[in-house]
Amino acid sequence: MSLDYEHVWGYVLGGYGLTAGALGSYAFWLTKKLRRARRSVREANE
Amino acid sequence: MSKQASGRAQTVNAGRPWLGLTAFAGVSATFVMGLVVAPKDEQQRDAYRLLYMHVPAAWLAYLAFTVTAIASALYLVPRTRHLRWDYLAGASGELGVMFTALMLAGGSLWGKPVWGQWWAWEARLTTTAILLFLYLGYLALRRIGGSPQQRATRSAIAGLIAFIDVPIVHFSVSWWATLHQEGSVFNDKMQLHIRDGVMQFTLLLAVASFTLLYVWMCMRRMELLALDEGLAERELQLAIDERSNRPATTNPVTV
Repeated sequence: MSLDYEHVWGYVLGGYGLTAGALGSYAFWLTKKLRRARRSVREANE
Repeated sequence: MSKQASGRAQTVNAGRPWLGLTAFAGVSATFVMGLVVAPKDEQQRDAYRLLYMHVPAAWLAYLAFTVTAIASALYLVPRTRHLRWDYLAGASGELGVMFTALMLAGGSLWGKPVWGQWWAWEARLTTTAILLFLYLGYLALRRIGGSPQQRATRSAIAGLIAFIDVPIVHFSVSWWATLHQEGSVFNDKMQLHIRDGVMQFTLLLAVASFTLLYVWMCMRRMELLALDEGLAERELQLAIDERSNRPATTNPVTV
């Protein structure tokens, strides 16, 4: 089997894109949920 | 203040902004170094660049599940029992699942051009897939109803049982003849030798910045778990008071 190492940028960019997407999405979701929870706690304690 | 509320108050009030900013700056620098600055590998050419995503993901999967196991054990020991260990175990377990999925996906994207196939049922990949499903089960178990203490106890037991697979994954490449190579960084027999200074620095940066990101996310996830539970308990208490026609007697939700 001959391996074509010269044409792998699609795989490489896919891996980096997937990582960036997953980490970015999780951080965004977490920040949004945390802000909402903090606000709810403030309102509940008022 | 109730014992549970007190527990939440002592939970890490987290997510220091500087930590998150440093982590994201480090991860961004890793992307630039990995894609642009680091030189090609002599044998694998550009395919090896996936290593800068795959290795930190694998390291953090191990780290996250180890933290989950330690926190689970600390919750089960009566002398150290505290809900903050349960929050830490849950937060770290969730992150471990994410990093395991990224490790498998990144490995698969590397495997296609290098091995010629997306997936192989060999020891390392199979035990890692089992690890992913074990901890998905752990996360599902955490969502089953019951008091926080009941959830924490059953989750802690599950977290310790699931951890058995972590050393099996790690040593699978030594115990069985596998397609997956042995350790990529410290093994001289490896096809991929990381001797170039820029390559070594990029890998170090990747591991350090991803680890910082894990710490930042874990602290924030812990705080979110604590807040959500505090709010849920308060709502329950309000409902009980309303049903029994009592004036509301709830403690404030603490952070």
